[in-house]
Amino acid sequence: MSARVFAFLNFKGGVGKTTNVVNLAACLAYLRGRRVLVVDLDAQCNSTYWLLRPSEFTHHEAGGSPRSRRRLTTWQIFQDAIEGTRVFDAGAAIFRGVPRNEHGTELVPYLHLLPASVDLLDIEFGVDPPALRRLRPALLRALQPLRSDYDFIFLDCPPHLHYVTQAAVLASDHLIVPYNPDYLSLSGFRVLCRLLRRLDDSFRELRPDHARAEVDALIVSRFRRVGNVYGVAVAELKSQIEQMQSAGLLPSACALLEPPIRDDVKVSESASEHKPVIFHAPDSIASQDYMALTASFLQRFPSSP
Amino acid sequence: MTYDQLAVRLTALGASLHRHAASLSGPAAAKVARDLEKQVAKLEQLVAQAASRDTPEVRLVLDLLTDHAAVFPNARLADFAKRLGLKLPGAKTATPAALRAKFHEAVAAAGVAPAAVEVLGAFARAQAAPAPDLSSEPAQRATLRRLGAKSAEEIELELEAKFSDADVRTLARAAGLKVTAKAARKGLIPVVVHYARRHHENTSLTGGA
Repeated sequence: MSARVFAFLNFKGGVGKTTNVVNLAACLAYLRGRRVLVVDLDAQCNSTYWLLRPSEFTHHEAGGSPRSRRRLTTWQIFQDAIEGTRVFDAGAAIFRGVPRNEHGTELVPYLHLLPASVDLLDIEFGVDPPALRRLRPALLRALQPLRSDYDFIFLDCPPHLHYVTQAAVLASDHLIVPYNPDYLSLSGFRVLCRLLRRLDDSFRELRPDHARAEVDALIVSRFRRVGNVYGVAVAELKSQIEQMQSAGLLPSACALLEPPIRDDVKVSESASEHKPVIFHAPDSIASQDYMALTASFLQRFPSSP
Repeated sequence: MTYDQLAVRLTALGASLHRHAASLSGPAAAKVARDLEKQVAKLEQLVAQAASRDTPEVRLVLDLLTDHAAVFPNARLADFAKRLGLKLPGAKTATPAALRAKFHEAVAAAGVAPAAVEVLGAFARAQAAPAPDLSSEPAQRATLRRLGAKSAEEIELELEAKFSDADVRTLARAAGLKVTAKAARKGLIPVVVHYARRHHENTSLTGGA
């Protein structure tokens, strides 16, 4: 068995990358018994702090200096690539069974987290270009030995397309674009697809067997059933996908995963409670939507037997 | 006497009258002048009417009405007349051929031939367009995009020509609009026109970012 690796990316911020990563991963692990690893690549550490209380993360890092703490995060993967070292230890860094209750009991044994560090902010600064290029294959190499342990690996990308995100694209089997239903997102989506196409050329020699770096699925977040505004925006997105497929800019299998996730205050609340929404508010509309989305996701991306 | 000969004679008369106007006097001359003025006014009107009919656009209107007679039944012509601000007295009782002639006359007299060519031509083209494919959601959206590339008036005409009430509702739903099963066609068409154009504009691969 080998995990399928998914990068959730969009250079636009606030479109639901972390929300979808955390909540879809939790549904897959808790409701469908799939083994899922969430890899936080964003210096904002949003996935990390959604699934871990601050005290838990501190405990995870306990005893070390700020420098040694970073070793237990995705930061070390990239630092190793720059320095040419092999310090990263996935076994020590991965937080197994998240989230946990106040007694430290695992709520979802199959859901694991590789946390991020705010130091990722600086990882690309002050590094010479040859070392920067070494960042790209770093994640691919780091995840390779973990693939046999999971059904799905979700990469929560930062809101840009710099080297860390490029590393995620290279390490992924599939790209998923979280999307807000409005024209600005639609316009950004076209740009994103063009940039990915450009990136793809430079990936050829790094991973010859890699399929094209193309968007395989989109997830609409912050949907509201009020008036026609959101329905029209989703229809335009569907139309855009069909046109881009006709023009060969998107794979024919690229799909908009249904249903759109409705805007729900319970989602924001659940982040502050450090739990996926299915634990914090199981009867909420967001929980219902994520459960339905999980079915749709598994239909589109069945896990390996 | 031909009209050309009359024109030459009137030109000569005008020049002579201009030269000798001060010499004319008396009731007899005044009466002739008044009678002539009335006839000249009538002739001017006739000439102006003839001139207005003698344009490429007016001839094109006649061609369109004749070549596509089947797609311009009386009710449709009455509707177009209303749109062009024309009056067609007796439209309800006229035969189709008579009404087409009246329509043509009215267009020429009102000087709206260019607008009439546009509206009649667009409608005739819409009639000749292939039947809309609304067999699937992607096909419906493709139809929406195709329509959206046209002008608002052309879309409206094509909707009128080729789309049933149910088709218009289907298109509105394909655009993401909430539509009841009884939504009225008349109110829905302007909405579909707007969203078809927006759909085309927003999803175009050649425009924007």
